[in-house]
Amino acid sequence: MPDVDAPAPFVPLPERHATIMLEMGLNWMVATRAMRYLIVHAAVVERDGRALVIPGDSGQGKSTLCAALASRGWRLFSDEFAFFDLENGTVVPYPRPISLKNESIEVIRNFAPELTITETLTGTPKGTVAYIRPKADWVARGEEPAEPAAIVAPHYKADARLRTTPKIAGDLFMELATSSVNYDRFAARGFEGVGKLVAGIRGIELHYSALDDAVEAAEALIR
Amino acid sequence: MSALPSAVLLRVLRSPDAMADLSADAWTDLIRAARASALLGKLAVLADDAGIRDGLPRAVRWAFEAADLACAENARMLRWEVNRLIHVLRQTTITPVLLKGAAYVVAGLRAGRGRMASDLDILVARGDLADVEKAVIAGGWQPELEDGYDERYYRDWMHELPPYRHEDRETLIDIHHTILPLTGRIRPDAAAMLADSATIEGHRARILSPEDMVVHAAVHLAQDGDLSNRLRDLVDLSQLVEEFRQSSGFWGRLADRTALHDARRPVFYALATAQRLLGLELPAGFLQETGRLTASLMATLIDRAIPPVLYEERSLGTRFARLALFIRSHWLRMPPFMLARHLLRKALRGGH
Repeated sequence: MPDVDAPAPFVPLPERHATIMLEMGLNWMVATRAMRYLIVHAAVVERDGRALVIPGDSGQGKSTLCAALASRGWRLFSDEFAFFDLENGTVVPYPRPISLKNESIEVIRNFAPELTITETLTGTPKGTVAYIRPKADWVARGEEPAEPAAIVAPHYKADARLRTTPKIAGDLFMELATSSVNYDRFAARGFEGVGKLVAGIRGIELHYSALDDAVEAAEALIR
Repeated sequence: MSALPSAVLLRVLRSPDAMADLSADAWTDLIRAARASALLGKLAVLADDAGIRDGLPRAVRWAFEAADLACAENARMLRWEVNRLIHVLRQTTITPVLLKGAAYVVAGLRAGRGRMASDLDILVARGDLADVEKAVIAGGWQPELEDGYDERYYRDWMHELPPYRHEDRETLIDIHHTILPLTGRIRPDAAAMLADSATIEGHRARILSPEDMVVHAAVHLAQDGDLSNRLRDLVDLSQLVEEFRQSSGFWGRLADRTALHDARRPVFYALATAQRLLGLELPAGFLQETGRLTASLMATLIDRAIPPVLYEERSLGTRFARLALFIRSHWLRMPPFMLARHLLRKALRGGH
């Protein structure tokens, strides 16, 4: 564990990559300190008090889909972590800049030209990176939780046709538990808590290449 | 009031009620210092016992909740490791004696509440070492050695085998056959410790007698070269004493066992330090019976070396005090020539 009080707790980066360092430091602190929550590697957006949870490994289009939905009137919770409060079954916001990587930067610049996006940083440890500025409303409502209503597991593949497959509660349970950084720590409480979360929630696997199709399919889930 | 973070931590350890009335800045210092000294879970428990937890600031309650969860997970892990160890020892007649954190947690002692332990430390009779080793290897643990020197260092000189790490669970067992290095000047009576140990209810494992547990905690504090968790170890000692002194005759038995184990000086230093830094109450005259304060120099070194836990507190003075105590801990563990050779070897290899 890095000594976060030391002058250089992490391997330093060049000054022009300071924002990457800030993002990594922030994520590290949150993922190791906010342990009272069940932390799941997932993007989260919200509309009308209902949250859409988008779990998945890097490269599956989690942040891209999250950015696309956020540009279409959804409130950003996080493009990185879902924080579940197992006491009341809600998910809690963590609004900070959405981090876009590699091809997704141009995709989102074209898809949502109205978003404010930083200049593109090249040659970082995470490849090519740009950040979307969070809207004032997302930050102002940063303590306002929501009920999880649906789970979408995205799978991006160039030229793939849109295909959605429903997932049963057991699959959704495993999706959350295995994408969690601290599921084990909650023991029986975690098992019961995740069981309650996935009961009565809709979930799909979403195979896509066109972002418009993906946004429509995700929105249809909550409608 | 501006004080070093470790000063706030010491104040709260002495009187947990102080947590009910801390500024936001003091909380920031306190939580950082508690994390750095592995005492956050302990603070959560102290706040519970003082009945003030519900009234604390939200962010503090949340940090305490996270610490509770980490400690509960650690306790589950320790109990499971004990379970697995007992399982591999079932073909033998050996009942391991749990030491330190694992003992406090599994036996449900006050010192074990809110206490994390990364390794499982056990004590067995020296004559049983070969059988224990065979059993843990069959159970999936492997010795962690860098080279043949390490092997000799442990086997010929130390009071424990090289650490054994489990190949799947990656957990560590430290197998001791006495509580101090064989090369040291103080020779505790390990056979008497084993003979006086007691079964932990519901487990095929044992713990040291209360008095031996205090002697061990004191010796560990006074002689271990690892200063990183010194404050936590001091809190262990203090809480053990506070729990065990409830039984009548404790102090007399502690004096007897201290003498039997030839541990007057370490017990004296450790208890005197707990009294100075944590406000541990000792019976009048007890320290005079166990030993004599050799020099205020030692007290100065200890007071400087134990509490500083954060980066900004590591002044030249505290670094010197720590180095001095590190060298002293080795001095007590081996004769001078052997010590010089060992430190040189470690220095050439880099790091200790």
